Amino acid sequence: MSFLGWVKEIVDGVESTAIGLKTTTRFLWENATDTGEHGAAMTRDYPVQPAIIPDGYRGHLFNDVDNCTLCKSCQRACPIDCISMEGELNENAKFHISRYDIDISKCIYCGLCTQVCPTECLTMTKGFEIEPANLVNKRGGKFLFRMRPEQTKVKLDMHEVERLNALTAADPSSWTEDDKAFMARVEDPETGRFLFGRYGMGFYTPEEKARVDRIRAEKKKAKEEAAAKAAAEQAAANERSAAEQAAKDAAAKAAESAEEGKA
Amino acid sequence: MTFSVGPVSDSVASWIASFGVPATLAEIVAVLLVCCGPVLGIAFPIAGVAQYFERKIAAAMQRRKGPMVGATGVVQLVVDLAFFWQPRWKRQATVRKLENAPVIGPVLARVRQWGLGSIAADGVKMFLKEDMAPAGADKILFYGSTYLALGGAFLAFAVFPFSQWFHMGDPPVAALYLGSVTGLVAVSILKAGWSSNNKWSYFGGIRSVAMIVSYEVPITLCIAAVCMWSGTMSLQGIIAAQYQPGVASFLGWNLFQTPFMVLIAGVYYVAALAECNRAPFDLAEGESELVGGFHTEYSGLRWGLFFIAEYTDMILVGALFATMFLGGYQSPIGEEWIVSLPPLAEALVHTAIIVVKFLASIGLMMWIRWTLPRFRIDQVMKLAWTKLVPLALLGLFGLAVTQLVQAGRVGVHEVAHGRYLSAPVVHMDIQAVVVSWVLLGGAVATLVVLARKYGESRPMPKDVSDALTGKEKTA
Repeated sequence: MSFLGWVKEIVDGVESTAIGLKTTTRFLWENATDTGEHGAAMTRDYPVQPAIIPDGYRGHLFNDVDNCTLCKSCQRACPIDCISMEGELNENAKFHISRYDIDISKCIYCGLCTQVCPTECLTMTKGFEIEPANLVNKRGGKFLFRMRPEQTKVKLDMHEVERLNALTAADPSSWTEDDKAFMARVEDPETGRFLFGRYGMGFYTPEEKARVDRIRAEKKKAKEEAAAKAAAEQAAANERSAAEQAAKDAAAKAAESAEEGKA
Repeated sequence: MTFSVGPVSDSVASWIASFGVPATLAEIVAVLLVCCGPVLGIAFPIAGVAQYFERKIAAAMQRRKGPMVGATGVVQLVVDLAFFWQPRWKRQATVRKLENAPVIGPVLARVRQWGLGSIAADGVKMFLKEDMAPAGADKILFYGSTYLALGGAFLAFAVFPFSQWFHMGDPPVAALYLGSVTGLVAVSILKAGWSSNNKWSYFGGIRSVAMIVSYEVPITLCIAAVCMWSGTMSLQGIIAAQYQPGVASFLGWNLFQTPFMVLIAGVYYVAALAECNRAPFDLAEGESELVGGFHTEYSGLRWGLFFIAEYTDMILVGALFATMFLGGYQSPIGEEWIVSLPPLAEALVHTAIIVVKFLASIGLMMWIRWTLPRFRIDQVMKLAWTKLVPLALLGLFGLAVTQLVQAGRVGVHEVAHGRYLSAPVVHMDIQAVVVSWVLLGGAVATLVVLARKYGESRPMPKDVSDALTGKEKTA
């Protein structure tokens, strides 16, 4: 190696180090000022900032009891038998779901139950926080994991769920008498637990409802499109096979006539 | 019998004696304070806190957020202990109430966001972990090497001047002493690796020793060059030789004397980086190959001592760099106003200046660490023996020639202990400075241009070049 090559190695080393130092400085600056083409830090301050969950995430199961027909397809589809349910006849002699129970400690989040659900009332939400500390709301009250017998005593619609969320997030001293009465109805004063589970049986919030409706519409549209496409393909295939058949027949006829002619 | 190490200890002793303490006892306490103060009051806390800043800086450079541990865990622990009879949800509710409280809440949130809790959490974790030695380990060496590592790092501060009067001692051969004491780190790492009865640790120790022995050569050459330039081996003398009267006192610093000094400074910094086992030279603890390297088997506070030794080494390197090239504790904007202060105030100002200087050096080390990937052992050896040693020899030679040409105009001739203002310091004359910078700068620029144009790099290994150009091996 020549002398100039030796110098070049040193120059290259110094130069590339300087370029690297410049790059890391840029990252440092962008991170400190939340600017730059790449934006701020790529990681999130998770427990404070909400996590970004992609569509199609297989989180906690959620059953919209208004649409559930108690067909038990999900129970049969479940590979580990973590779903159990009970029903009763209501005054109109119709089946009404009274208990829908998913054992979270067994569930493997495979999603097979949601695929077989005929009314698509059983869906997978984006919820994933099952660490007990995350189930403690701001007042220290605890949401329940599983359906308990006492939970079925209080039935909440989606507006009431929203109100509960808002009240638990707010300062208790700002509650009105009506709010206090409402909380007394939904909260067990002895254990501080809410008498409804955010897990398992429940109702959609409006956003969740809109999302599920959108997904359903998309699925339906895709299904219809696929059916139309399949029908068109079938028709084209039929046409093609008919034409082939005709050509074959003609060829066979020609051959026959040729043979006849030879004979 | 009176004890004194200068006016600083005298003024501290008189202050202590004013509380009614016997004079001799006050003097002893003052001397101990002045001697141990820098190490225990400056180096040790900075080494303890530096790892927090390192984690935050690393996170920022890698576009992460870094440690975000809050004080909530501590608060929860206190509440748990205070209200142990309550159910858990109620105790958690108490903590949530505290988090939403008007004054405490924002403070807790800020502490959590800055990750300040991680400092206390790390310390508590290290204190509570079990201190154990692996089966078959050589217990004496295993336990002893931690003290040796810390001792090697701290002993160097014995001769380090934080101010005119603020040091343990100033032997006339301080540079030699530093060279031998910093070598203790290599011994301790080798001992730690060997005594762990673990092949990974052993490899780490071997690598580290191979590296440190190689890099001692350029470091010693650099120190020798600076000592030759200053005409003394005492650190106070080296600092005194960089004194420049007037407002622009930074012009007297060694770094701005000749381009050869810049070369020497660069070589010294790279070699010192390797000497204290920092990335990109942290082969001894290459976690991708060697688990943890020499400290794989260490746990708890014993591991923490290695950690503190590493950071103390960083402080030492920065402080020595400042002492040899950046005027030590001198301020860049005139020295006279500091020296005219009372002794204690003068010591504090000078200490603050040197602390700023070595904090900047630590920042640069962290910056380099999170920029460059780790070298291979052959690359490390090649860098030491084919680049740094020739460059250091070149710098040494250049400085010698400059001193010959200047015929005794550089260096310090007579330094009374600490009193550098009275020393007859003469710097290079201005023509010589201009000529050396212009000539050598031009020569280096020409060389760089020529090398870029005609220089041939070492050919890349064939498999690497194939991988870079997209030609995969078909076989």
